[in-house]
Amino acid sequence: MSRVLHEAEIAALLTERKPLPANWRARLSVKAKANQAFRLLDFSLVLTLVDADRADYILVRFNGRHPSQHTNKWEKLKKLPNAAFRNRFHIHRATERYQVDGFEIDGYAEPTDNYDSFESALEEFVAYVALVLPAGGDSAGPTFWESQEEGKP
Amino acid sequence: MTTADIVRSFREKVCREIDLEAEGVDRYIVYTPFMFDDGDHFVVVLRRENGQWVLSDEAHTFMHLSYSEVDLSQGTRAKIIDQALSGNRVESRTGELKLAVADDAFGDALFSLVQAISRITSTALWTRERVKSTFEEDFRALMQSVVPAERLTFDYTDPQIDPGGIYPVDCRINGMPRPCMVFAVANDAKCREATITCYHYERHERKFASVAVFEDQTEVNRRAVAQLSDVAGKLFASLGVRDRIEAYLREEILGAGRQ
Repeated sequence: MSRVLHEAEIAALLTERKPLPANWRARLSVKAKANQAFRLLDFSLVLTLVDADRADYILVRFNGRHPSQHTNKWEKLKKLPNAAFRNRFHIHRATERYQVDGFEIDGYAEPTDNYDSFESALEEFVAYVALVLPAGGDSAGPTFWESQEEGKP
Repeated sequence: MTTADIVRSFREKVCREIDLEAEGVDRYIVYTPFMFDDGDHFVVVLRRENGQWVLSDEAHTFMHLSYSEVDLSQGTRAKIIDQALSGNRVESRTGELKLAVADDAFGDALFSLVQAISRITSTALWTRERVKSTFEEDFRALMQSVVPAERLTFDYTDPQIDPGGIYPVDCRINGMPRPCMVFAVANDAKCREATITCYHYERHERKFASVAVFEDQTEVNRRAVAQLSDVAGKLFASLGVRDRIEAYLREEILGAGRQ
């Protein structure tokens, strides 16, 4: 059964340090589901909370630039300015107000200029959600796309 | 406001919600008001391919639906998706939904693509209960298509060893020396119930064959599957292997009565 995550809890979950294993880059792989087509600028990086009762909550989602619009439904309903933007890299973030008013937990999004590719988004994401890189860093490893091209897992 | 004003206002509003933005040569982003539940709008791109205009979602729909972690590639969801595509003349190649614009009917093509995306999106939102109910319907339809009606009993309970009806069998096939009990397994609980029922029949020295058909075996607790595999004669991972299930029932179960 879902519950409402309050702003303070969301903020605490985002800032909580989350150590990454030594081989974390090698564990990144493209999901082979129905979607087999890859578009370099249309990607998603998602941090999800799996609660004790196994309900899951998307806390933050870094989206690429998909050629469409995003509408922040809560802001639109309140007739607030800048409720929508088009064709931009953007970040979805869990909010208490969206849950309380019956919208998707990650329905709020803001456009961003902090990244412009998967690699730069990943770098930004690591910092944003307090992932802690292993000692020695990951600079020796291939980039995500390099590992795909080489057929590595 | 007169009726004519209402109609004019309505049309203006609807038209205003559709917009095109040029992005490169012979390529336009088509903005529409139709969106996923998280506020991201459907992706629709108009581009020219081999001299023909096509509308495409550029594979965004399936990527977006992957957030919900539901398997769209089999079962009832896959069937509905196939219907949504064929019913709207939309083709899906490597996950990209695409529709050629015929006879310069751009508006018709847009509505068809949006309708297909909308229907596909709705399948991902089905609750597990909804999928379960269609699984049970599909299971029953499969059994009815293979087994003659007079040899088939759904929700069977044995009046002698189970007078309280607490060890139900989803489907019992009779007419052979050893009847066959077929279980439709949609979740962990059903898997354990099937195991317990088999043990109960064994304890009372009933001779029977048994088959379990999972909705999706990969989603059932591994230990529960292992326990069921110890007592059930044959397991099928999903209704996706319908041909194999039919062949098994015909050759190994129904055929056994002719020996």
